Amino acid sequence: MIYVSSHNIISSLGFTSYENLKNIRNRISGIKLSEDTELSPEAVFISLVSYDEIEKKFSEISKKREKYTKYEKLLILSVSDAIKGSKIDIKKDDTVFIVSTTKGNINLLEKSKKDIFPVDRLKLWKSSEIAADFFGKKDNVLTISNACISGSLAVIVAQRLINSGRYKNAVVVGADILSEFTLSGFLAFKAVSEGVCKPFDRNRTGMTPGEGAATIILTSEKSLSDNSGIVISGGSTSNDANHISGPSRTGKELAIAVKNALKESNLKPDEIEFISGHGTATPYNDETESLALELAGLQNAPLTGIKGYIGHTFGAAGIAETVIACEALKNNEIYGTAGFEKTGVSGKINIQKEYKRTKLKTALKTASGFGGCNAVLISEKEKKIIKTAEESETNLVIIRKTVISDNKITVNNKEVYVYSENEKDFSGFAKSVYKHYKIKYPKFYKADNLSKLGFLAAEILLKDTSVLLNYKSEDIAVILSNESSSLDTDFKYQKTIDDRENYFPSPSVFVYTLANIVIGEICIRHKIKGENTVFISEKFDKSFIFDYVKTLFATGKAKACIVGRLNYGFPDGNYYAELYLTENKI
Amino acid sequence: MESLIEKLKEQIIDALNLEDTDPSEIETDEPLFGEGLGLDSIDALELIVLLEKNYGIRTENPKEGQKIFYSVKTMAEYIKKHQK
Repeated sequence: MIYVSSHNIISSLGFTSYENLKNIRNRISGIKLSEDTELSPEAVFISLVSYDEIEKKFSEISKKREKYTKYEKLLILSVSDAIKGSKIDIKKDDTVFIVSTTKGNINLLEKSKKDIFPVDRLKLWKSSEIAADFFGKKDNVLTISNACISGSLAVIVAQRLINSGRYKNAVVVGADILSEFTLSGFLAFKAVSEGVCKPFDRNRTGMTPGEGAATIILTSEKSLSDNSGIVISGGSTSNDANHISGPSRTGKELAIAVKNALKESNLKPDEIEFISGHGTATPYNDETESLALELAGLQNAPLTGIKGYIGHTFGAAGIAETVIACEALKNNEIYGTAGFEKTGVSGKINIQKEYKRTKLKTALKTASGFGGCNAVLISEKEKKIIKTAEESETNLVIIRKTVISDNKITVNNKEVYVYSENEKDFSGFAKSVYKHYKIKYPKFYKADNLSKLGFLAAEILLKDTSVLLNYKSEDIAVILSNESSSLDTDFKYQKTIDDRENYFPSPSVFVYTLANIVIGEICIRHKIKGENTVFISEKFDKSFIFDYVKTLFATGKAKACIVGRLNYGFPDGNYYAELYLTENKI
Repeated sequence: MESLIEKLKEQIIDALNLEDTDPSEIETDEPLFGEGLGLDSIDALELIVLLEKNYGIRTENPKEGQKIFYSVKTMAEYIKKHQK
């Protein structure tokens, strides 16, 4: 059993879970119209954490304010508050520290901030290390960057790592800050709400970007729990394999994740009593979520979306919304959905408009994001049957290996292609590989370097194998390790907004500014709909990644997997792909 | 109009990364978002940027896009009408 030990939420509504909950109960939203032209040339409704408050709170715990960025301060403040309420030892090797973020220190790319911190602070693994080090933690630090499911996914990964016996405790923290980068991108996507966002409402026009942090501390020891009796009992992810930015038309894939999570928790759909929804309030996302929930048989469970209170806090969102689910169970209460008036989705679901008190034992959390990813997480109170996930036999077999680097491609360590040009030129190399293998997929040219690399590596890995045909699309996973996330493309996108006289944020560049879009591209190309995750780390920890895949096999979450390292280096432009096609042969 | 149409085709190929596509392959009157070019919603957003960047025309309502971007011809007509 995985118990909740402590938690925290930092948002426009306050610096503790309690302050946030108090405002949410009273239907108070922290979203305001911002006319700060440094953030955005046009006025926009967003949810900001007071910068003065961050500085003030941080000076209470550290004398070295100038050593940390705003993003790192949010991570540290959130963990500091959560750890106060927990008996776990964060420094011990049986505690894993997991950071979830979409963009980390992305504002350091801005011209005005460039020289304040060294360039490696843009690396997501680096900022995670800095935050962990604040607590004296040097090892066992993980970073997950998987678009808007990052937070939920980080909790799921924590649950799995504890269940598999690798760790006893997990500190899971997520954060993202609002910057010109993120705001301009979503505005160019025409995805931002005209006013405060209206989840699931008939008149919704888009999302409200937010910033913040959230932490949940989990433990396998009941004596280290918060005594609420609340446990994380199941979780699952899936991929739409439909489009890199638009959600599935049917919601089938999110419904698959719901089904798999319910199976792990040993629950039937009608036993779910509360849903902490994703509810971004974009026209398409809410529609798909409603279809998925109806398909999964969750039409009666009261559903609350909290993005009308604190906006979409990206890397923090999934954790904050998991905390909301756990607090709902603890306090026997369901929160109202701010911004929602009249149903504007076609799936039959039970959207909760007002706050109410009711006995609760089970809650489910949904999340979806760019790259077609979905995640579902289940929390329960007073779970009677003590039943860890059924571990079945595993026998991970590597069927094929592909490596791409330095103008060369190998399959099973045999050279299969060498680019004759000597110079380092990835785009020339990629194009020649595309032509050499006679690939017909015009969208290839639209992809960024990381996605092109992953696309080609997967194409060559799967060439002439029929392995994937032996499995259902939902039983095939894609698990990647990466170092520079999407920084090569982030840098290119930043150039489109650096100059206000020549300010043309490009949506087609922005969409690739996430580490997991490449998974979306691979899934679309090969119709793969199973588990998907991007771990960010400085080095390729092959044994960790393969152990994680074994956990997926052992718990029936996947039967085959494309796994490995995929990186487009920043700022050096060195590319490296090492992908394995694996299956569970029993 | 003819020269605008030709220029527009080149700009579309460039903005949407339609490598391996020749301007002559884009039919002036055919639907841009039909089968041929395989364009999607992100391309539609990028066309909005193209109009702003190259012609100084801002389209606030993305729903307008469906009509404007129906074909290269409708795009050219829209530019003629709105360009200052």
